[in-house]
Amino acid sequence: MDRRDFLLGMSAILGCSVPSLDVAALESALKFSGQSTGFLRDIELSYVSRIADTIIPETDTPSASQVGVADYIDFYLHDFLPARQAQQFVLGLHGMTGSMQEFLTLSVDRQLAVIQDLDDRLDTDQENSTFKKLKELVVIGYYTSQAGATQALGYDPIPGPYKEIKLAEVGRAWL
Amino acid sequence: MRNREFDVIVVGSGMSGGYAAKQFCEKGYRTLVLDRGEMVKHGQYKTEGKAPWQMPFRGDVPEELKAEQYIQKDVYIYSDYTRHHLINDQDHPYEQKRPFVWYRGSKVGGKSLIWGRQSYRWSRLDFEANKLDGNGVDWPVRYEDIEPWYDQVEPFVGISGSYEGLDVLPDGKFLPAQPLNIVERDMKQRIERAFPDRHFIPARVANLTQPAKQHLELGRVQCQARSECPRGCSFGAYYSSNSAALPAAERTGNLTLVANAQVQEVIYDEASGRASGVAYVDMRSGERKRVRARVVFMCASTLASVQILLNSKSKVFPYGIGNRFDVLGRYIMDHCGGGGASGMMPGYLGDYYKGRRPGGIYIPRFRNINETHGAFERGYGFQGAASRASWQWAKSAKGIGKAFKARVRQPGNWYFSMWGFGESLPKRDNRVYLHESKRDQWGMPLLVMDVAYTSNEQAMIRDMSETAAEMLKVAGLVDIRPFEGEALPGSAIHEMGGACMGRAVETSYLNKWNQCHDVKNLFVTDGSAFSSGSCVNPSVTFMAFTARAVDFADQQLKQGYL
Ligand SMILES: Cc1cc2nc3c(=O)[nH]c(=O)nc-3n(C[C@H](O)[C@H](O)[C@H](O)COP(=O)(O)OP(=O)(O)OC[C@H]3O[C@@H](n4cnc5c(N)ncnc54)[C@H](O)[C@@H]3O)c2cc1C
Ligand code: SF4
Repeated sequence: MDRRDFLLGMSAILGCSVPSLDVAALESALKFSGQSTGFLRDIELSYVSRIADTIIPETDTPSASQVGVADYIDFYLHDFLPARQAQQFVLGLHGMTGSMQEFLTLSVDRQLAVIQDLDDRLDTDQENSTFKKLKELVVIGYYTSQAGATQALGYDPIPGPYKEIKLAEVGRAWL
Repeated sequence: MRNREFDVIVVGSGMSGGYAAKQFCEKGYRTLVLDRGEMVKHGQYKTEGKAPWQMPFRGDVPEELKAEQYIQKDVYIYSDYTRHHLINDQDHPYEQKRPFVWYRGSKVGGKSLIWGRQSYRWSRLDFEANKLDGNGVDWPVRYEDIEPWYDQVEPFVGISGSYEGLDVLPDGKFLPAQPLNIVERDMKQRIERAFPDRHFIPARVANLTQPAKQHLELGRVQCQARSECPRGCSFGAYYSSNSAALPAAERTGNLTLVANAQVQEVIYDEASGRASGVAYVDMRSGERKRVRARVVFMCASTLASVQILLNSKSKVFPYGIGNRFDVLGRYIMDHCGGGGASGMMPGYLGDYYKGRRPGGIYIPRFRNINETHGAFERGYGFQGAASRASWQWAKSAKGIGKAFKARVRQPGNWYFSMWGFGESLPKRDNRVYLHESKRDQWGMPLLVMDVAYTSNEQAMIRDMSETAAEMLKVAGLVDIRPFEGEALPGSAIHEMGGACMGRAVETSYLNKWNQCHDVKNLFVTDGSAFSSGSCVNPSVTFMAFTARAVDFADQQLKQGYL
């Protein structure tokens, strides 16, 4: 749902136009771009995408990389994290499974085994902190993306009055 | 007298000031509202309705921006969606002689834009507490004095609630209550059976479950259960000054509202023995201005009003206007909190809900009512809610691949948590004062906070955590985790006191009409006026006192006393 739909939806609920809304002011506040910043190099993007898709593969809903999770992580590293921390994270990525190049040439099953091992070690003494952070970013990036929120989960910007329902009526969790 | 531009000056446009302005404007007074915040018009809420993917960091705030709001960043609603409604701490510093968390609004409307909307009446017991246990100064008013003003304020605000007939939490004039969900209904039964003096009721919140005519006339419509209220709500479905009181004031044609106006001083006129007006700084241009009026209402929020009054120095009042007996800045209170418990409710996995309900449950005070607890005086209430876990758990959980994805897609177990808000005792030594040399960039002396909790609050917080856990146990929850967090004064954002009401000028700042004992046309009607703190969320009570004081001032003006 974009801003316009939101405003239209709102006037539908109000049953009238909404003169008090300054549409132009609201529109100008919307300037998010989902583009890659170029912070991560191509191989790093491929590596992150591959791991992201191992964690969240394609099913009846898109995979992590299909909704742009790698670009989100790139953006997060470039624009959100202080430069030092971002660089440290990238360094961590390079040491996480050995060479990125090598990992990318492994069979899908071997890749799965490597990631499974990293995942099994979460919350133990042998936890890999870069993997922990990466997984968190993949999960956030996916479920707060438009496709993740609206297809994998349920997203309802204007739910109407709170009411109880049976889970079967929606079949999935709300964002 | 006659050629003044304004009849009344109201300092602050938040919960208290907004309502003062509405009442004065509706009574025909030319009213000037001055607020330090930036203007935000109802409907111009820049993050409202935005989905996470429309926010650069999906709602998260980068460190360098948090650094500008090093205090505000810890308030529970702080995110990229709301941070512009909170003050920039670097620009608005204060001193902590002892640790004190000061959360403040940055916009016209003040904290009314971002409040949690929990709205409860005080009880008879609350107004008698100081007299009964000897802490603080006895209130010069009782519940009966305030009751009619709750009756006036609540329907305008629009508060949803259930009628319970409890002495400890008087019923008000309510819109239909927010529903309890199935888990909460079952918990209610079990808890009330095991503890007949504990009541598990729907939270009373200022969200329009069923708008009435006076709401619709202001363009306020039914709450859509988005629970995104602190971003601002163009539906006007929760109460804020911006959505309700200020538009109501504006339509009378009597309102002048000046934003970015930092009031620094109430001006005392020696000849008349009255306040002649206020001095303020235009925060954009730096220009200093003075405005005059017949009456001044201080509604800048609890500590900010005290700061201005302390800074209002004259020959007659070298320690702040009306402060002959060193009463101003004393008896600062906040609710103590941080105690509670959470747990998991097994089962109910076929049950779910639609919509994000903007309020959960409330358990009114049950301590020190019929029996004496022993370890502490006064009491506390609980807020809480039951809901099902959604995807967030997956951020730090194990699992990968299709099975993981399928699991995240389903709502998790039901969880319930509740946390207490307790009444802290009014102590004369808990105080604020002006720093002798440090000033902010506009020249206002910084406020120094010298407030701390005592063993009474600590014992209460411990009890919160124990009683919460015992109730969750009888309610059938498992994996119960009691908590007893450290909550610093200020962190409940229910600061009160500093210009307390009382009977005598030697011991209190205001009389029973929120009127300064020594300066008859100066009123303080925000939380500064409060002689004790109750344990319920205070804001509608600020408004009820404001309504009552405006009515009194109106009569005094008409009779020529002011
Ligand atoms: C996140 C959050 C949740 C809350 N939840 C609840 C709740 O559920 N229930 C409840 O009852 N309360 C709640 N509160 C507290 C509630 O918001 C306050 O009690 C209430 O807003 C206080 O009203 P006020 O008019 O005194 O101050 P405010 O609403 O803060 O308004 C004061 C105004 O004065 C202005 N001002 C300050 N200094 C100056 C100056 N020098 N010159 C000019 N203007 C000035 C400010 O800019 C502001 O606009 C919550 C607060 C927060 C932040
Ligand atoms: S919960 Fe209600 S009041 Fe809050 S933002 Fe949504 S519609 Fe508005």
